[in-house]
Amino acid sequence: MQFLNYFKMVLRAPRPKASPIALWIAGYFVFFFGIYAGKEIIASFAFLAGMVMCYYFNSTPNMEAVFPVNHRKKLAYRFLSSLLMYLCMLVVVFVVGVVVFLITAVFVSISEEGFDWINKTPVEGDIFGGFNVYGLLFGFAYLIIMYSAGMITGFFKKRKTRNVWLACLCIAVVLAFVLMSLPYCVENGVFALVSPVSRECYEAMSLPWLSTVIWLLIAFGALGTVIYMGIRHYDPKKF
Amino acid sequence: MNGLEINNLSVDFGAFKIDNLSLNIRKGCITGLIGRNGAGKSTLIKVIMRQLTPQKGSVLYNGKRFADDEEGILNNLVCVYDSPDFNVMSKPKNIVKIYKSVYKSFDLDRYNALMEKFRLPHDLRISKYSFGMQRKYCLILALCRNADILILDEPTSGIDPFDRSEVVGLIQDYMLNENHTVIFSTHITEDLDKIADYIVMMEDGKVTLDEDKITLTEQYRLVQCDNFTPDMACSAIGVQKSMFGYTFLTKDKSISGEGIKVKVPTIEEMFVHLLGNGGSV
Repeated sequence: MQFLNYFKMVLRAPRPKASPIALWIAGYFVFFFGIYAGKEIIASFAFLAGMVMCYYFNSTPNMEAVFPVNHRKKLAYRFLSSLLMYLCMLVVVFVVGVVVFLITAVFVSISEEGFDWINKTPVEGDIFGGFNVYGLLFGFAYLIIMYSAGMITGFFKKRKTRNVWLACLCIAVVLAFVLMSLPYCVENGVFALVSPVSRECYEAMSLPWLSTVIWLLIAFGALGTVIYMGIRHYDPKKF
Repeated sequence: MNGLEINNLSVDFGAFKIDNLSLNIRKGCITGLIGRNGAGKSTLIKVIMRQLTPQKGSVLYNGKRFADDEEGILNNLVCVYDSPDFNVMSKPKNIVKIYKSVYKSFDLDRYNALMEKFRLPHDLRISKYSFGMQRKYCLILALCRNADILILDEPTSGIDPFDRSEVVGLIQDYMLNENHTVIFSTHITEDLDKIADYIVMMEDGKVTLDEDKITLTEQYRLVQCDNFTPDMACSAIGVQKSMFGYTFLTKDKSISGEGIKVKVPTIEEMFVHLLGNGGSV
């Protein structure tokens, strides 16, 4: 109950006087690039949720700073707030997606030709094809990284520092997907962005388990960074 | 015990600076905080309210460090900022539900009584309130929390004179509880003339004056004269020349004569002349 009060209070934060444009540009860039290059819909929403919460947490005056709970609870609530916003976004997207799908299916079923993809089984369909263990582990790691990146953004108080962080993050995301696609490009002699979730990406690698280990290390490193920044941010002994 | 103890506080955020500031806010008293725009008053308030982290220094709340009693201190610390600390698209009836759940000491009966007294609608978005109504609403929320430490940052600006005197009356009622401490930052010094016990003046991130109001008003006299003589120059503070003559502040109570008017200065007059003296006393 106290957490819900905290969440409601955070969502009722005053709107900032100047709109944080860099936040939205970075948020949408990482979101759409993640979906385009990696088919990472679920993880990209985690980052977008972090951007939305960053917008609320950095408003001034900030009731979150004086919410009457101790620093441990406040840090936990902050994690949970981003998670709840993320889940709300997924639910909304899922509901909207189902509605759009149903409406489309109705129109398709009554049209003369229909669409090919709607008759395909999930295995044949582009969006569901090519999964493997490495891909799943990458998906898990990328989700943690995106969730953590969103949280880290919220801890930067100074706009300049935050913008530099966001710029570096966008570059890192692009580089990551390009590097993951490199083995496939070298092997096949083409330049293409291959989703790190797909089987083809790992079939071209000589040590696919190494890339997975590196991604998992980055993910836990990112999570550890969030926890560290959170502990420093909410440290009651600061002054 | 002091309500607030600020020790060696230093803040530097480029445009906003506080330089090695130490200040005791007495418990059970109303302390008026005055200073020019950009003096550091709002920055000091933000640090006390844990919105900003200083580079150096500490703040004690009723003698306690923040780490010793976080929840207790946060429950007993409230501020009315110069802008609402909630989304103005919200309605009062929704805001008060959250406040009632979060703050156990929130007095709902008093809240409803004050909303009626100031004729504030419960079902209208705060954005539809006038500026003065928004200020009153923020003050009502703060007063009904029954917190020990109340910080007011320009609480009466934009409020009509009739309601302003009522607001000042509310603050006086609030101070009937000896455990309460108020910091009142304002440019409307007439309010401080009525209710402040102590006056703190800030200039360029430093405290230039920290004195109880009665001692201050007893210490100084405001002199208006047609001619400014060299004798007067020795003790004159913040001399101002106008078409009506000269005005200055002085601690010398022996100044008198023809064409010389001497009176007890208001806080505003002290503020103007002391700042005109380079902020020094």
